[in-house]
Amino acid sequence: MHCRNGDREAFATLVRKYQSKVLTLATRILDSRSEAEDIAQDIFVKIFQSLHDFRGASRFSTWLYRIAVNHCLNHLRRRTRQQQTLVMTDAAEWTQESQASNPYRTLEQKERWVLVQAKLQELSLEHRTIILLRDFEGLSYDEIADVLQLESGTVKSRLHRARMELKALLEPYLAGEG
Amino acid sequence: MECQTVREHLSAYLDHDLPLAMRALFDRHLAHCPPCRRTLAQLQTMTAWVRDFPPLEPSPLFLQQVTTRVDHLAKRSVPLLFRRFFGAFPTQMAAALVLVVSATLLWRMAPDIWQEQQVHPTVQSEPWMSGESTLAPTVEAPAVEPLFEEALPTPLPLVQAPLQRPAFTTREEPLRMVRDVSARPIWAGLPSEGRAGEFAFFPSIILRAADPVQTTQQVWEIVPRFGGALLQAQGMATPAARKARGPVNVTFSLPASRYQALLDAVRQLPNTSVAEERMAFFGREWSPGAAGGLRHLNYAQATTPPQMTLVITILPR
Repeated sequence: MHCRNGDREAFATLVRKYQSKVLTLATRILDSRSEAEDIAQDIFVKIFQSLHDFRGASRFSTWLYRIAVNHCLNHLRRRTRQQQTLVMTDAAEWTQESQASNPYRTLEQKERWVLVQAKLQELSLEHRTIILLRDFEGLSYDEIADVLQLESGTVKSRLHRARMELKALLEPYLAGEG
Repeated sequence: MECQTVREHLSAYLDHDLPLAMRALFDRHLAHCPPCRRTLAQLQTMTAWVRDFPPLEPSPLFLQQVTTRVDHLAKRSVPLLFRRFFGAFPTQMAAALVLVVSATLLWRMAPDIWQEQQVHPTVQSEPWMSGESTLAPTVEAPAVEPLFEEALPTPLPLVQAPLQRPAFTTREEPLRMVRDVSARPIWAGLPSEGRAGEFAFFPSIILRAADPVQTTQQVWEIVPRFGGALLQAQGMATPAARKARGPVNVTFSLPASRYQALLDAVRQLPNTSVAEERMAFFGREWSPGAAGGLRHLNYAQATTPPQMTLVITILPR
């Protein structure tokens, strides 16, 4: 509410609270750490501009995710449409950063991040997004339905298809499981 | 229960989204079906891998950059209260804008009408006023100009140039918006898919010219080549204004798609330079969520080229 009244300090608190989540989600969707940082800035500016539209019908975090996801997807589609040069996967970049923040991460874990991120990029945008919202962000089916503006039944079926597709891509690496 | 049925619902099982009775059936099946159990285990591992992604921290300057952009935007943007009001009553505000423009046009046209009236001031339509009658004197019609002048409030010019402090969102904000809408300003983006938001662009150009009146005439001549039409001129209607060689305002309607081409042509005019480009932005940004989830709004599908209003101000050098 303070943010809606133009309170800059309250808005700064909001940015601090959600910046990591928004940046991480944008990085996973866009597959580019450097690009995601710019997009995350755009998202917060857009959120600031749209705060007066937030009616409280859904949770604030859900509303924020909706703006973030839509902005990322629009950006990605524009990037595809404009046939820009392929953005290099800079998984190594975020791996290095994570290593710096936690030196105890094992090499195997880092390789897995790169692997899963690469396989996620092979999914369609819709499938990638729904997996990230559910399995990475931990949103409920209803919240995902709210973010993606889908029926709850569609969320379930799409999530199932997305997971099965990712599982098929990761099959060689999951062979030892079960 | 068949393996196929189980596998179709494994994702829901994983999320504990099955009714209890069904979950019990699944448990029984999984206890005796190694292939389904393996598939479930692989799904569990896979979701754990996704969940294990490390959170990323933005650069130390991230917050500062965001707040700087927001502050910059707020300074140059339409006041929040206005935006709220406009957001609540977009149609009414658009109607009010049309009224203001119409009133301004009437105001500008009015002097010509009065002049015509003054040429034939005597009303001869009544028989008793003919020269043959001696009962009623010939009266001249009262001068209507002062009354009319008092009745109408003085309209504000659409653009007061040069503005010390822009009243609307200017250069940077619209350029960002323009990038979103296929690299050109769009009048009230209304794609076929429905409401994309209520926003409208009002571009204005400020020119510096050695002879504002001459430049205005040149602009006047080239605008029709781009499908535009003159709506209003201010500052060169009277001989006194022309002689004063003060600022001139001309307002055109123009297909939005021809705006850049016209601007390029204006840049080519002799003894004239484009001092500033402004873009007034009314309304709020379209909300992708409200417009239908993740669907892409293709502005290029707009069937008719949208018209926009362009104000050109020509200042003496």
